[in-house]
Amino acid sequence: MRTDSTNYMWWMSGVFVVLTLSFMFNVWGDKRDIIQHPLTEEKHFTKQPVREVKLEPTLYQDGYMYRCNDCHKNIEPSTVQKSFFSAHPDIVLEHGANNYCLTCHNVTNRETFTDLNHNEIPFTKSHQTCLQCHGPIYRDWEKGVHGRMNDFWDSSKGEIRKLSCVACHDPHQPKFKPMKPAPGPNIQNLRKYLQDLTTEEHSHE
Amino acid sequence: MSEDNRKKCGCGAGSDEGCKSNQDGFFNAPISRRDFLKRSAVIGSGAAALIAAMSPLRLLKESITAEEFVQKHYKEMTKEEMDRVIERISNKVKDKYGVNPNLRDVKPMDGVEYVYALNLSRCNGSRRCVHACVNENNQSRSPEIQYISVFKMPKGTMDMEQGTRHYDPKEVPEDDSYYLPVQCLQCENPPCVKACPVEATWQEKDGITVIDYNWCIGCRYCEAACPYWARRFNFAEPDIPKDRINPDMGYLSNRPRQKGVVEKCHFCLHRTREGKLPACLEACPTGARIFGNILDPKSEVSYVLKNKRVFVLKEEAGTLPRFFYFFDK
Repeated sequence: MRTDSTNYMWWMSGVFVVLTLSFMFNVWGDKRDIIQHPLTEEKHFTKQPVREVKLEPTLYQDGYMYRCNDCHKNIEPSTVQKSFFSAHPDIVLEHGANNYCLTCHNVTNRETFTDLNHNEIPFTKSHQTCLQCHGPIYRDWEKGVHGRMNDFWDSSKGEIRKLSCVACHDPHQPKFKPMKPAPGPNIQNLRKYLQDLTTEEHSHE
Repeated sequence: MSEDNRKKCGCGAGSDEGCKSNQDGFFNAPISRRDFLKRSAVIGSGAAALIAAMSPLRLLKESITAEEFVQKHYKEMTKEEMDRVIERISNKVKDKYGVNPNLRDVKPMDGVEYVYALNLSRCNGSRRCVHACVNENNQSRSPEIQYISVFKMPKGTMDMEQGTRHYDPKEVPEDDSYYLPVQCLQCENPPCVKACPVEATWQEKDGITVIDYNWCIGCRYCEAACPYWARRFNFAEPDIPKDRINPDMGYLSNRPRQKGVVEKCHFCLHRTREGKLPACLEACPTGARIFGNILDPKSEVSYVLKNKRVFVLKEEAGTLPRFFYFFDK
């Protein structure tokens, strides 16, 4: 009688041994390795603006540094639209209806900009030239809701640093340039385990 | 043996002998060699199975100390207790990442309520904000955790289901799309806070919903409650390269998290509560992001809310987000 009732014990110890081995060798556990994703390049989170702001009215060409007036004091201003000498082959003017150099550049002193009354605007205050046509945008920029802002939102702690128009817009082609997007969410895990789904999602590549 | 005794020991049908041995008890009974072996085998193998099943607990020793285990809730800690906790976490970070962190508990400022505005006419989907955020907030790189999801949306719809996070063209923006970055909207009526069973997440007086990573039990109810899919869960121990760790840390914001806790955007509170702008805003190449104090009528966000046509995501959810979107043109 007792022998019959305790026979299950052999079975139970067998089950426990199997359980021990399966826990030790991680039979049911998650055996996936964590896929190491490539690190994002630092250029993808830089605080640098997209353009470099020119601080001096100079032109670097053929190993020499020129100031604008070095040449322009001797050259008669062109009255023709989009007439470029070989000195500025890289400038392509695509500024909407504004297709004349001297709308923005001062006719008498080429190292400055001009307002609509032909008054000189210093080279470093180019936004005063832009605001003559782009009033609403300039108003937004002044309020701090257009363009890049850096550093402090709280003026009691520090200055908010506004970037000027030309830090983002090329004045000759002011449309904001398209850029390469930073890498999106990594989907190697999905790709590995949900092969069907990812092939469907990436069919446009 | 009387009939009564048989009933008591519950072996009415059995023999007198069997009943007696049960009365004597399991351990006191005279035991045969065979039975002894059987019982030893069961007890021994059972203990082995238990130890094998519990063996992952060995790893706990590395990740949690007794002091950490009995740590109080953030709101219940005194200044001295918080100082000790900060010192302990700083040492841990130093051991693990080899940098001396500037870890501190930054309190909300008086008379400040943060509001974010995002100009969808300007956003070009370049995902600079996503990676600036990851870099600032010490998020896990593998497995990957990102607070900001940038959705590419077909023009002419606000239906989130038509958007995709997985776009990778040569250049953005694409003509047929606009881009909708979504992160934690810091709702005034946050469903995530209501869902938390242990009050590990709550709304601070400046409007930022924060998480005590040491109090979170990892149930992920908040993640399910959020209508904006803004919360992220650490399924594995976060992996941050030593050279990418940001030593500027806040207790409630970007200190390194551990496996099994939820995290989310906190408007860079270690920066913003000290007057600085959030990292995602500073990295935005187009200046689409605007941040400030809504209680200050002269602030940038006040100007946006007064003068632009703003809207919020899933208004019908009744969450009252503090994150506004607007179109400019």
